[in-house]
Amino acid sequence: MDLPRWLAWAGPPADADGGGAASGWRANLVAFRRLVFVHTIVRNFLLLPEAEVLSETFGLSTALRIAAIVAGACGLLAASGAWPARAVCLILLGEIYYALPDSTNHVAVELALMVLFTFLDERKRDKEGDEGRLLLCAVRWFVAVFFLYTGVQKLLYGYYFQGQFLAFVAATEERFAILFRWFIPDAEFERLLSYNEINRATGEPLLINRGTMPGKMRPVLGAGPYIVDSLLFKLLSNAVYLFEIVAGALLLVPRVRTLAALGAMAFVVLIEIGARELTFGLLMFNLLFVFLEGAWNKRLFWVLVGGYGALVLHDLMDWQNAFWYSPA
Amino acid sequence: MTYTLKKRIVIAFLLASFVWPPVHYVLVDALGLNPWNWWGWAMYTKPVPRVQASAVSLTSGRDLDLRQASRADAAAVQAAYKAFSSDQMELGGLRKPEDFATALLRAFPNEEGVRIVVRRVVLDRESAMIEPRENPDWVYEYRRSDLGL
Repeated sequence: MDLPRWLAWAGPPADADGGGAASGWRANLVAFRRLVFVHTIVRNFLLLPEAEVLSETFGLSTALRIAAIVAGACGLLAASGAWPARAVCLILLGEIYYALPDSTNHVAVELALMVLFTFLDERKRDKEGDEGRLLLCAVRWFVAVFFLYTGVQKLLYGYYFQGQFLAFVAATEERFAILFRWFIPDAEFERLLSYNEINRATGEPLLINRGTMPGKMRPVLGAGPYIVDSLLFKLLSNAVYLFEIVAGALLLVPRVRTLAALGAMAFVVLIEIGARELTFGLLMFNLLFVFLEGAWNKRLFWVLVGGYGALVLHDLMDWQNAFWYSPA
Repeated sequence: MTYTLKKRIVIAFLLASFVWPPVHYVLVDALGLNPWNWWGWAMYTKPVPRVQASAVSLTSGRDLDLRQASRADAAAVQAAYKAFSSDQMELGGLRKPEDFATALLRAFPNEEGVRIVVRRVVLDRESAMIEPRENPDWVYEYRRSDLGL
């Protein structure tokens, strides 16, 4: 198998440095890299346990987050990201180790990107090769494989065929209830809510927080079935993994790459309405802009920075009670 | 580092990212790991299972009733149980309940040993019902001598 050729398949056109719509890809990669460092800074800032920073209980977790913010700021400002990325890699490994056995995928995506930045410089090209192209190919392949497997795993586990998983989260998690109740008939939604332990005990409806907190309910043993009598809901459920698999594959096909990336962005928006992992959502947008023809990471750099800024403002103003999202 | 070497590292990195999720799927199935974690991109595939554990006396076969333990011992047992169930949810069979058993045998000094049965409360894929799921490998027996007590 000619792996280098497969790798190059995800790269920019051979004449992309000579002008035209794709010619800004190298400068775009600089913006992309900087935005990943912005992500590291903001994610760690949002996860700083504020009460701990100036207190006697200042611990290793807090120290790691502050170190990540400093190293991320160096990566944002430095011309080359290699050394700050190496520092961030070590810090992220520390964060992962510290959080074990809870090992979130979001940090792993960030770490994977940082690993690439440690040894690939987007500006470096000589007669031996072009590191910018290699970096772009690596990022695109990684994101496409990530997207593809999110769908393949849902297919393998089989909780989307009858809509079991979505029905369960619609019934037990408020953030998903707000989204999916539009696809579930009222009587069916009431039935799903009736399985919740807390619902039986208090007689209160699930949506008691009016969207302000990600309330999680605990269904009783024997509850169910978590299957909704709605064709639309089942179609929606099956569309989730099908889209992820198809979009993941099409992200690598040059002729339809832009369309697949735009579709994936719309999909991320829909997911975030439910999941509310807004910090990671911004990283996903940064990753998907890389697939577009033209320097969209660069053009929309300040838009994404503004998005991260809004999350920081939300944190500083303590608006989590007014609107909850996951900072991780 | 030469460009050729960097290219090889990138290919190895991508191959690893391609191979790991199927391995992750197998490990989750075999060991009971939490599919949402461990970098297999299997978040939102199925509900995270709840872990429950019951403890019975090895000699009498009766449930150990925490109400018969002192308040401090009961609190220690509950803390150990909380830590165990949280870890077990992530690590499945890789997490053994030694600390939970130790706390239990300290709380019940007259007991020679304890049997801990770990089960998970899951959403069954076929019936779409919430069901308890026991695993014969997740039944643990500890005697005082096993734990150095």
